[in-house]
Amino acid sequence: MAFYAVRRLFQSALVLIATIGALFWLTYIAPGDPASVMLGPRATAAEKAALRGEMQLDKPIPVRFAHFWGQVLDGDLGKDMVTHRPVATLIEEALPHTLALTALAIGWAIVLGIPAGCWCAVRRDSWGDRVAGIVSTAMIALPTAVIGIYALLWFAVRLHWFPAIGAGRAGDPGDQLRHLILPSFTVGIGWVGYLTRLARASMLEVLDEPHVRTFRAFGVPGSRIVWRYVLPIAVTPVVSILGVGIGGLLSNAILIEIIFVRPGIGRLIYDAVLTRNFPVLVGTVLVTAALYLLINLIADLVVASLDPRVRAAL
Amino acid sequence: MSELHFDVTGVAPTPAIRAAPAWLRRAAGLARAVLAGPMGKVGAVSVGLMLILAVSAGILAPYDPIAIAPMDRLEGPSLSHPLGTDQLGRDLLSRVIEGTRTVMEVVVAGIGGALAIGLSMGLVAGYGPRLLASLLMLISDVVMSLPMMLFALAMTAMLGGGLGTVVLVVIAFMVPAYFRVARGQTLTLKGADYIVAARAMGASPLRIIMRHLLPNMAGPLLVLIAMDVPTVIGIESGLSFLGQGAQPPTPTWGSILRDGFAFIRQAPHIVLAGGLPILIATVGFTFFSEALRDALDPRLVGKKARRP
Repeated sequence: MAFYAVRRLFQSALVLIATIGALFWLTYIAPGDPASVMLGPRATAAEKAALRGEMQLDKPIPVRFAHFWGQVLDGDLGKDMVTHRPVATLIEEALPHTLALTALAIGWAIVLGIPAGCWCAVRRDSWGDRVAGIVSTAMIALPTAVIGIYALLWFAVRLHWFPAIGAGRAGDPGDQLRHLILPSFTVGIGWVGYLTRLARASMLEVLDEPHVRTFRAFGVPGSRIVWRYVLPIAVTPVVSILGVGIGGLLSNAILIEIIFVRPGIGRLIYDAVLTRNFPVLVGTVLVTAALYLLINLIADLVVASLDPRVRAAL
Repeated sequence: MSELHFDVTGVAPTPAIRAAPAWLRRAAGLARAVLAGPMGKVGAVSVGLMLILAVSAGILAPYDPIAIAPMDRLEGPSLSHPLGTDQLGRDLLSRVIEGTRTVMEVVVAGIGGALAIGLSMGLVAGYGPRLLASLLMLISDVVMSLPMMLFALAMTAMLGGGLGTVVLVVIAFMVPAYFRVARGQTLTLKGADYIVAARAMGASPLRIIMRHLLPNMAGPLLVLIAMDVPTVIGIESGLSFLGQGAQPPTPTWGSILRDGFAFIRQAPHIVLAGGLPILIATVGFTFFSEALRDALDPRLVGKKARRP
């Protein structure tokens, strides 16, 4: 187990280094010069050269790469090219918004998806089960951008049920939560459908087990079997799959933050892409990818510690 | 299971059926199985609709999709413009239809590229030296362990926006899945008795690949392709919505969403027009792929859903 954890950590570090390496390498073949973009068309050659020197664009890629990792180990992710604020501070400000959005999206998936899946499993092959099967498949397919825009249009612009844009007043949790409801639901809607299907399949599997048949033979009431003996076993693998889903949820969160103008990581990355703000881009990609890998690792370790069969397979 | 019956009377099939080539009979059987359920029917209809729109976009579009008409800007749906007009007075129905073609071109180029690269990589990894296989696995692990949108935005930042970049993103993001299927199938089949026998009879690797490996992979790959179409549409529309995909004036569904998003309060019909085909296409292709998978491999019915 410990050996497995160390190996996975090592693997994750390798993925991070490869990713950032590819980003560095791609700057070479990128069209356009970041210094010219930043300073505008009227900048003199000397100004551009000075900025290039400041950003170390004149150094060879391996030197910049080594320098960058040296800084990262010191907790320094470089400076924003536009505002000159430290990238680490920008990420620190944006990250809680994205984490809250993602966490609430998972919350929607668990609160709606698992009960729906159980309901379907108990009423297997009924009319309701079939309709729910089709609806949940459709929910998985829905593309985030469209759902986000439609939700914004209908619930915020038309019905005024929820505020349309922003993250709410700082220091007012109620207002911030109201601003989170619509975006988090649109981020999580695919996972509501997915968890419905997974929970249904998992419940059906457990319902077929011999110990459930024995309970029935002993006359234990059906609802007690489901709540007390089937649900806890069926839910574990379903929840553990969420760790794998973090990547998809983060992808959705990036789009939704741009649609709902929320000051999160997605917004930061998008603005960095538009302005070719290379330090911000690399910093946010690094932190987001690291976070994603870490969550995946933790999810796998939690599953392994819960399930002896998985542990034996490591 | 009432359709399942065994022919014990020894009555020969009618000559017409016997005359049809085997692949055609198999294709007809597959089509029947896909169309059996409600999901397959809905999926097949929307997939067919998208293909017709894409192929005959030039004939079906009532107006020039990029012709600007300042007098007609931001008009709601009417008889002359069934979906209304956008902020430059362009007919939205024509843009949606023309957009279908562009989106399907991205789908074909992206998935086709990923399939070609992934398949060759998988065959090489299955047949070639161990070291090369491990290296290819590592690369595909790296790509698969990044959130897609992060990966896509980083790539557009480096390469510049445009449909070419979208195709590249799709290829880079999808190659690992095809690579894994191809490699797994190659490794499994390589040891199968009939392949060993074919090798013993002197069949060249090329012949084994063309004659035995590829036909055996066709099923899983077909399902994977059908499942990937909605993902590609999602990537294309997402990136075009962010202004990193199709560049103006090229219409795609995502770029219509982008145009409409700026006018969402005054003219909500634009985002409705841009989003509807995306919903129909993604849900339709997903239903179709589910039905196809159940038809190709009954053991998997209801299992292994596409991840959101």
